[in-house]
Formats: sequence, structure tokens, C-alpha cells
Amino acid sequence: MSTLLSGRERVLVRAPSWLGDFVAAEPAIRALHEHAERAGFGRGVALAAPGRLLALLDGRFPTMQRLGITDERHETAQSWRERDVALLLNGSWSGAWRAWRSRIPVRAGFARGGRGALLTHAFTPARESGGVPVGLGKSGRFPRHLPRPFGAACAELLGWMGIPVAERRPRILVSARAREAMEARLARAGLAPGEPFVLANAGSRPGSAKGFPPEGFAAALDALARRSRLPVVIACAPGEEKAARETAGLAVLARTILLVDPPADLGDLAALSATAKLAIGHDNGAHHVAEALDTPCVVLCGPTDPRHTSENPPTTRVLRVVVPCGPCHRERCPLPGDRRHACMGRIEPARIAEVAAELLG
Amino acid sequence: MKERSLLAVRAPNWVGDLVMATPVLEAALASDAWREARIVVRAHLAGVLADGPCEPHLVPVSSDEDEADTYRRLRADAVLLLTNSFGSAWRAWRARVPLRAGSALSGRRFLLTHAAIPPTRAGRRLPTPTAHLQRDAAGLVGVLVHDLHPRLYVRDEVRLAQRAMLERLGLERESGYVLCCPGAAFGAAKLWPPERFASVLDGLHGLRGWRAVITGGPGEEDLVEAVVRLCAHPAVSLAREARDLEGLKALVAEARLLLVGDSGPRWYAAAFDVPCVSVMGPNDPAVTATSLELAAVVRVDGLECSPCLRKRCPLGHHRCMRDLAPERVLAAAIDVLGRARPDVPRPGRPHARPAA
Repeated sequence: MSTLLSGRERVLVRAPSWLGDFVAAEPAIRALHEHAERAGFGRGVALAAPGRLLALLDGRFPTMQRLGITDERHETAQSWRERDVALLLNGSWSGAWRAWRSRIPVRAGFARGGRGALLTHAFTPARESGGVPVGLGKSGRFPRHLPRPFGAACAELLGWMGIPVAERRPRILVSARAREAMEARLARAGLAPGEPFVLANAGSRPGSAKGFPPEGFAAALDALARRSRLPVVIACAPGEEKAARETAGLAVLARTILLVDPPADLGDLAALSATAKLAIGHDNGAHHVAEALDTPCVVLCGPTDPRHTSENPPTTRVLRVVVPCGPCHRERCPLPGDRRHACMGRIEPARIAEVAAELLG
Repeated sequence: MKERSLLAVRAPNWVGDLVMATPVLEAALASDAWREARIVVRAHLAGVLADGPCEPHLVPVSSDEDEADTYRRLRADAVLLLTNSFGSAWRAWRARVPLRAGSALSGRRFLLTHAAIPPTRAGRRLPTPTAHLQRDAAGLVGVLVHDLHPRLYVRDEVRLAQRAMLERLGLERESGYVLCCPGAAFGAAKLWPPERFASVLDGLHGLRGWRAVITGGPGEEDLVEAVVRLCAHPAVSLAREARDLEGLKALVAEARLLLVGDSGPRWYAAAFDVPCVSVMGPNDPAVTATSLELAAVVRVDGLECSPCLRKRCPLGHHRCMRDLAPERVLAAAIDVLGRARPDVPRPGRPHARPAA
């Protein structure tokens, strides 16, 4: 495939709206911007994404235009007009529709969710066929898209547009001001200045299948307290406070510091992750943030296919169990009785503590 | 978990693909999903995997028939095909291995029980990095690969022997050198003219004082000698020395830079975090777009006939290589030498560092 992008085009990049995918896409965004900069046209790149996610790139890519989205339902096509290329890293139909309505002549992205007809460069994602892959309880539904690390898929997409992604590790920078603000908040909560700590991202939406039960989380933190004397900072995102509070309340041995009032925004999360010795949490965006800051992670993986999270640094350990109903990718577990939430409930708290202690050295 | 018994991993037949597959091979050996894993590899390639964690698990095969017999003898419960050929899937099917997993390429999908279908555009396969395809196939047998950076290992004795050979040929012990592999087992279409290799090597000698050490595979002796002859500075030829794939690891690991065509040694350099410039002609760069941190791939952009993926130029002009000026390659070498080494700790790196 010949080079499509010379670097002199006005490119609109629609970044993913999920935190984890956004972080995983950062190397591709960086490679695109560097490509344009080399051609002397860095200002030709515009990045559209939810405003709260764009804050993670504050202070970087100074020539890149930002198009913050506050409400995706009312995302206007106006700001997308007069572009040469739309590079759709997200998978939504509405993004392709908006690019088509904005009359952007080159619209490139993965052909998922029935949006292939709206794209000029529609790439059909990898698929799988045959038996249930080993280590899973069941296969995906038709069409069986092959679960792959999001960052790898983005790198392939950029490659097909003629831009190699040389550096594949996502990077996030935390400003000195954000670090200082977080240190001050931790000091008010009882942590001595410079004192090392473990970060427990223990929050989850009520009833979410991705959330590890608070009693299990607390047991894991207590088991870790028997091996390590580090205090544990328990944090969560807005809307996840209940699980975080319960975890803190149930932990008996661990010295916990609860940061839920107010809950952490993305700047707080990045500052916390950057200074923590270790982050323990669910298979959500928070661990991508911690990995991008070179912080070791223990990831508790439940209803999701482990192949999605298979690309991670050597200091990340993913814990999961094989259940016949998984991976289901459901927001809520539909099963009753003993089978309910078995993918998470069967992860042993002692095992979490053991792995965490190994990473702490 | 160890729920299943024996996984046979059929390693690729091309040197570069084999080195790219090393993260998958190590992940298979460490996987909880299998009680035991064996690596079935062509005997002449076993030296690539020598000295590392894969070596005790290698099962060398010398022929196609031997390969099918090996699966039967091992009583393999599953085979993970990291090759892309129809023949390798056919032999696994003939050996009645119950689970056969691999990429759905070369019309072999019907022979596989588990298949990964690469991305496509308008029904045509898109150029996808080989390392990604290998990881996709591994996922089908429950082997998760976290890091695609290739890993190679080399014993101290091999390194010392190679260094002694270089000293015998007149290269001072502490002096750095640029290793050059001008050949390509794939075919003539991947060959860059010897005088251009020589020009770049002379340029590097002038800038950094590093002499060139030039080597090649079996049958490439004349090409190696031609590059040496064309160099204006006293380059070192290994054409008349004993050369093998294991010794090449030590030569690459200790080099300051590798100058290479689009061939297997490029991946040696990636494994040892040695800066590398690869001159690419008829290939598609998207197929090899991994582990680029310290690699520069130089090619002619904008040719309508490229990439053709042919072994010989079907148009006869070979412009993908002929239009590539040595000045561009030299500039790429200077650029790649200025990059910082990756700061990620990797298996094998302690063996890989050049001697101080």
C-alpha cells in the first residue's frame, strides 16, 4: 500500500472515548503528529475527543488543535469541516456519519458497527473462526472479531495510512503542579510527605460486572498488609464511591487512606499513579494510566477477553480465572446463585496479595 | 491450571520471522494453559534459539516427513503454527493433531481447527505485522504474549570466540565496528548494489572511525568480498571464515550499528537493542512495523510498482533499490545512532550489551 498521508494534509483524528483506549491510542496520535511536524504542518492535525480525556495531553503536542467534546449526542459537525482526512480511531457509527456529513474526502477507520459504507478506507478488523480458544469458556458471537490490544490495532491502522508507529509504549506526563497538589491532598489525609504507598483503584459502578467485590478487595489489602507495611490509598472515579468506601471499611489490617470526597478526576488519577509504588485495580482505564506512567500494576480481569489486555509492560500482572460463561463482556452479570459473578468472585484475595508483594519486591 | 497436555509450536522457517516469534515461544513455554510445550524448528535454525530458555525445548526437524513424524512421536495435543504455509498445516492435519491453530493464510483455513483471520480491505488481506499475526495465533491456544520485542541470548564463549576471530583479522579489541549483511536469502529483488553499501560504510568510518565488518549467509561470499573490495577503508571480510547463525548473534550484539538489507539479521539487532538501518526494496514496511525503536527502514516512496513482494523485479528496472541513494541511508544511520536506547528491562539484555 503506497503512502497515503504526506504530512501536509489537514487531518482530523477522532480519538476513543474510553479512557483505556484513549491511552492505548496515544502512541499512534504521537506518531501522526510527529509525521506532520516533520512535514512542517503539525498545526494541520486536530484531535477530537471528550474534553476530560484531552486533559491527559495537556502540555504536549503544542501545535495540535484540540476539539473537546462535552456531549457526544450534540457533537457538532461544524468543527469537522474543511479537513482532508478523518482518521477514526474510535469504533462508533456516529463518528463515521459525522465525517461523511462534514464532507471529509478521506475517511479511514475500522469497519465495525455497520459503518463501513460511510468510510472511503474501511478496514475490516481481524476475525477468528473455529473452536473456542483455549483458556476461555466460550467464543465470541458472530462476526467473531478477534480480540486484540487496542494499541496494536491503532498502530496497524496508522501503518496502512503510511505512518509507522515506532514507539509503542503509551506515555502520559504529569505536571509538577498536579503532583504537588496531590501530595498536599495526601498530606491532609494523613500520608507523610514522600511516604511510599500502594494505590487501590477499588471503585466500580454499582452492580458492574467488572468490579471486584469490596469484601474480596479488602481481604486482599489485608493479606498484603501482612507482607508489606506500605499504606494503601483507596481512590475511585465519580460514581464509584460506594465500592471504595466499603473496601476501606472492611479492611482491618491495612492502613488505608480514602480519597473519595471528592473522587479522583483524571488529573488526580495520573498524579496518584505517578507517585504510587504499585497500583491494584480492575480491568479499566485506570491501569492503562498507571502503565503509561511506568507504575507496576495488578489487574483483576473478569468478564472481558484477556486478549484485549495482553499488551502490557513486564511490570503488569493480570489475574483471572476461567469460567464457562466467560468472557461475556456484559455490564452486569445475568446469572443467579453460585454462578453469579464467578469470573471475579473466584479470584483469590491471597493470590492478589502474593502477586502484589512480588511486584513490590 | 495446566488443563491440557502437550503443545507443539511450529516455529517459522525464515530467520527474521523466527526471531520475531521468540516472545511467543517463551510465552508458550511459560503458559499455564499447557503442561508442556515443545518447539518444532528446522534443524539449521536451531542455533538462533540456542543459549536461551527455548533451547531445552527444541525439537529439530530436517524434512517435511520428519515434521509429521515428530508430531506423532510427541503425541501432540495441539500445534500452534507460526508458519504461514499450506504445507505446515497439511502436515499437522496428516499427523492427526487434534487442535491445529494458526493464521488463515495460503488457503489453509479448512485444515485448522482454530484460525485467526488477518485484517482485510475490500476482501483483500492488508499488510499486517508478522509479530501481530503470531500473537493472534498464539491467543487461540491460550498463550498470551505481553511484549512483542524479540529476545535472543548468546553464551560468553561464543562472544569471546567471535571477538577473537575479529582480532585475528586485524580489528583491535576495544574498537567499535559496523556490521554489514548485504545479502538476502529471499531473492535478488532485495539486494542493494554493493558499491552503495560500501559508500555508506566509508561514510560511517569517516564520521565515527568504525571499521566495517562484512558477513553473509552461505553462498553470499562473492557479494561480501565485493563490498569489502569497494570500501575505501580497510573493511574486514568474514567471507572465508566459519559463519553460523549462533555466531552472528555475538557479532550483532557487539556491533555499534547494523547495516543490512531487508533480511533476518535486522531482527537480531532488534533483539539486542543495537541500532539498525535496513534498506528495503520490494517489501511492504507495514509487514515489519514492530520493534522500530532503534531501527530505521529506508526505502523509495511513491513508486507505483512497490511493494511488489517479488523475488525478482518483474519490470526489470529494480527502481525500488536503484533509486535509493547512499546519502539517505547514511543520514538514517546518523539519526538512529542519536536515539536513546529503550529503558524497558528485557529478558536477554544482560547478554546483549556490547562490551564496555
